[in-house]
Amino acid sequence: MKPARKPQLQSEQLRSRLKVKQIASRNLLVERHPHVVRLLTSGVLAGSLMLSSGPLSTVAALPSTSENRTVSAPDELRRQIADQLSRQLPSPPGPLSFGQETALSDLFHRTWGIHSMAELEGNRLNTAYGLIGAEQHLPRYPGDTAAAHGGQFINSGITPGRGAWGYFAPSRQQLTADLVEKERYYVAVQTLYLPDWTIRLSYLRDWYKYRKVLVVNPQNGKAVVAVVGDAGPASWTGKHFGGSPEIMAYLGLNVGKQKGPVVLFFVDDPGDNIPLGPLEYNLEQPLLLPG
Amino acid sequence: MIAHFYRYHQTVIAEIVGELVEFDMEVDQRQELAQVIAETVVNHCLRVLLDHFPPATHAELVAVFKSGKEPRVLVDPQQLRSDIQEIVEKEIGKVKRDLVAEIRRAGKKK
Repeated sequence: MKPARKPQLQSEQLRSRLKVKQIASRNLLVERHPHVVRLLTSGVLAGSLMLSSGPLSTVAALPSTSENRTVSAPDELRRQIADQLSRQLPSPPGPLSFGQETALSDLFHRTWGIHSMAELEGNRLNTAYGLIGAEQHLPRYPGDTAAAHGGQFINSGITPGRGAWGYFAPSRQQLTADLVEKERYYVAVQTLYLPDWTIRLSYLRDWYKYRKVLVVNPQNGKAVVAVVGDAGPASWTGKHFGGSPEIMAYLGLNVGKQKGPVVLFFVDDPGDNIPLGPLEYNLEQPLLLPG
Repeated sequence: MIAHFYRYHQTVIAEIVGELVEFDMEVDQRQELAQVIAETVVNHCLRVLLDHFPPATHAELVAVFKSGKEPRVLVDPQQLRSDIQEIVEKEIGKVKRDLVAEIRRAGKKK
């Protein structure tokens, strides 16, 4: 069957109208903040701000050769990912084959511009595809409370003991914004069941501490970057991973039994450049003006 | 905080550009429109942020929006007015509605 033809768009007229709005926006910016011109003089953005006519000077990180790339809205992107994952993942959740892991790694890179894999530096979990369950907040420093975490997840509570790697900071005063983010987006993984955990304890303990991971919900295509912040859950629970209240909410798994299947890959980010939190666009192709 | 704004405006751009996918047009044409949309949103977002962030942070802020690299931590949230997030999201939301309306209007005309 022939695919339905998409409606036409008056693109020339739209282009003119959008250009007017673009120029108005930069004029407003420069008018309000003249010093921006100085800050931008050496950059590509300066060109886009100062030139009111002529071809666009931006080489936005949009695809330059567009034949094999498409522009998608976040919702559409998530639908596509969910669709592809539903065809590639086994049921019920369990260990993936090398081929499946490689295919997913490639899919995640194409979608979000992130390098992630089931095995990194020779380390791998017993499964990269399993069930994640809701965890409570972790105490970030001695005396920390659920209320002190603020936000909308106070009711999730706080664990009575510290996480597997202790407090995030020795005191409230020493709690940095970076550590706050780490607790906000933490996962628990079953390090205790790794075959070499007791043999290489000191090395693995350090390797896993705050190890950056990508967590993907295959049912809705939502993805979040997190760190390993705790060990667990126990195998008798039938779950393989735990997620902070923020992670579970974003992934849409904070309802009903508060658990669901996820793919969990290690993120290869030696420069620690990838921020934690929801992943909603391609990191290698941000839709703005590169420097 | 900056990471939030950066992510927010990226998402807004992607959502607006996603509207273009609904229409039949050349890929290059879509690319050009997407660039114009991206610039417009960046300009608005940067302006509102500069309005509300301390002057000492402006150079770094501009650098963030030039580099295309999402920042980790830039400004101590304690230094900021608590309503900034609302103000930025309201402003960018307005821009988004306006641009989406333009696209849809252009799609309806013969």
